Amino acid sequence: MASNLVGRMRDGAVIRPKRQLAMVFDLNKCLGCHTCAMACKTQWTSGEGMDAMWWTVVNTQPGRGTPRDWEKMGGGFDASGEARSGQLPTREDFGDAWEFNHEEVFQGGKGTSVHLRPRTNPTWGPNWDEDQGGGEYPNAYYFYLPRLCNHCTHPACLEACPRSAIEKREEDGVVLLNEDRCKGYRFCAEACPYKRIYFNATRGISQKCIFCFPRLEKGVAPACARQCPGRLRFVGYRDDPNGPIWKLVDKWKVALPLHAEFGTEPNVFYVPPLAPPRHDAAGRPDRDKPRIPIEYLRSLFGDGVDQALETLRAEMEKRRRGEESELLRTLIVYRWPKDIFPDFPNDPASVEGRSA
Amino acid sequence: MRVRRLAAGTADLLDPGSSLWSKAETGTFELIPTPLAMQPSAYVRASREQRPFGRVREVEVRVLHDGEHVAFLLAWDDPDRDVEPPGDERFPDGAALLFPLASDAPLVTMGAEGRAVNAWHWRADRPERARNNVAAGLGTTRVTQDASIATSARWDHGRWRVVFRRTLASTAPAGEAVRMKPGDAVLVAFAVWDGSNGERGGLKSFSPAWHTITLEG
Repeated sequence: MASNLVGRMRDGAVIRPKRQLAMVFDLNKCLGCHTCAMACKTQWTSGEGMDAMWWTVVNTQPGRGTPRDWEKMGGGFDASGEARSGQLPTREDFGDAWEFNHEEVFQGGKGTSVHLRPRTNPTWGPNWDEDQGGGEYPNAYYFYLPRLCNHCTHPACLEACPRSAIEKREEDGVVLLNEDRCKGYRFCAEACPYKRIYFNATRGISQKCIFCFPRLEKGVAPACARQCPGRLRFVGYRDDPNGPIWKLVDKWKVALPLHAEFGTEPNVFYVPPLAPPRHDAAGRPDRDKPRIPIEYLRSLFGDGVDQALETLRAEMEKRRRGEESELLRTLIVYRWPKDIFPDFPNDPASVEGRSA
Repeated sequence: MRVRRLAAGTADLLDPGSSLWSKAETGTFELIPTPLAMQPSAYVRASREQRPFGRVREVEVRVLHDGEHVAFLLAWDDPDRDVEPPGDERFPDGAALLFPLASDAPLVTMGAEGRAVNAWHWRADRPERARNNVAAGLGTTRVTQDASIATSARWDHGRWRVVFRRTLASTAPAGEAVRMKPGDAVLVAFAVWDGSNGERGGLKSFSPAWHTITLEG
């Protein structure tokens, strides 16, 4: 059985870790380049049975996401803290690993007559609805939403496992799935409201993001964060008043949890996207009407999104007047990596014990 | 239930269609869903209130031995033959025998600390070998080293027939596998999983009391 009770509800209160690591994504900087997903894939999910796994993905919003329609699959906790029933996503919902006709096109002499295409007929995949977005020309809009395990303060997956195979680390709140204890029942995957748990059918176990804990222990930031070209993934402790997480989440309140109503207290936060103004019938910009409907942003990030966007605009205005803004300085990340993951600045290439 | 001793070939003892079974006493045992309130996961308790499980309600059991091996034939009705390995929303059918390793091991909690139980667990996606498990409470089952529990399964006209065969004695480490000898009275319980009903782990039907089988000397 699990030795620690961190992350479990006991006597009406969740037992919290000593410290909690968190991430903040500045969605205004996300290019949708998927380098985070590639970095993770290369580092962790190239093993057997992991071909269709993307522990971190980038979705286009508005969209159906990964897995398809995950927001409608249930799980998490209701307002009274009761577990909500959830749906088990299928491999097809996540998007299978497609096999391509590489040989035919590249070696088979059909390079000019046959297109490179999946051998199967896929109906979904990570970021399938890329750039579909919402709205009508000239007021169409979209933005990117990188997603991964939220390393929740009250993880629904952890509470769901009858074998206590999921634990939340006391020292940093990272949620880990013990592959030796897991029997592949997948109650965790049903219960996770963010649907970030995959099933390895070859090994008969569930697997998910590990927050790159072996890198953390060497002072190296998670691969998705370190490799992000847009430098928008902040990593640090929630309680560090000098770090970017506390400043963005708690002090400036511009970084918000995704679907907080799922009740798991996620530890991934998003700086909501600003948008250009709508154009009116005559093609003139109407500065009072943002392109991305505020109702949509509220549906993702809650009611705090209005104030967060207002704060961002006000601070940007300050900078335009030549004044100093701690918030913008934090978001811009002048000194990489120490401004973006101050506790994990080490270069992975310099770390002892790395594999060749 | 009396377990007849017969001179039989080991292959016959493993064959669910063997005529040997007509010589065995037949026990019919009622199965019930595992009590929801006892599930060790709050999620399972909440999510299964409206999603019934434990669909198989009866198992027919025959047991024989030849002085060296014991064989159990379990038969139950299941209209769907779920033999694919787990994946997507799919789970395989399964069955298990449970034995106490301590005389006072509780059945409903699958043992308790210091009072372990031994489960022989067959799953339809790995039809030829049952896994040997020990448990000391719900959620604690642990697969041990292979204990040479041969299985053979047949699904025909909506009915599973599954044979478990093992030597009466066991070379498995003490505390991991039940040991039997001719003349013994042995306690046993049964469980069945209906894969297409999403049954896995604690979601199953089981015989809620230990049953005694007496091996002819």
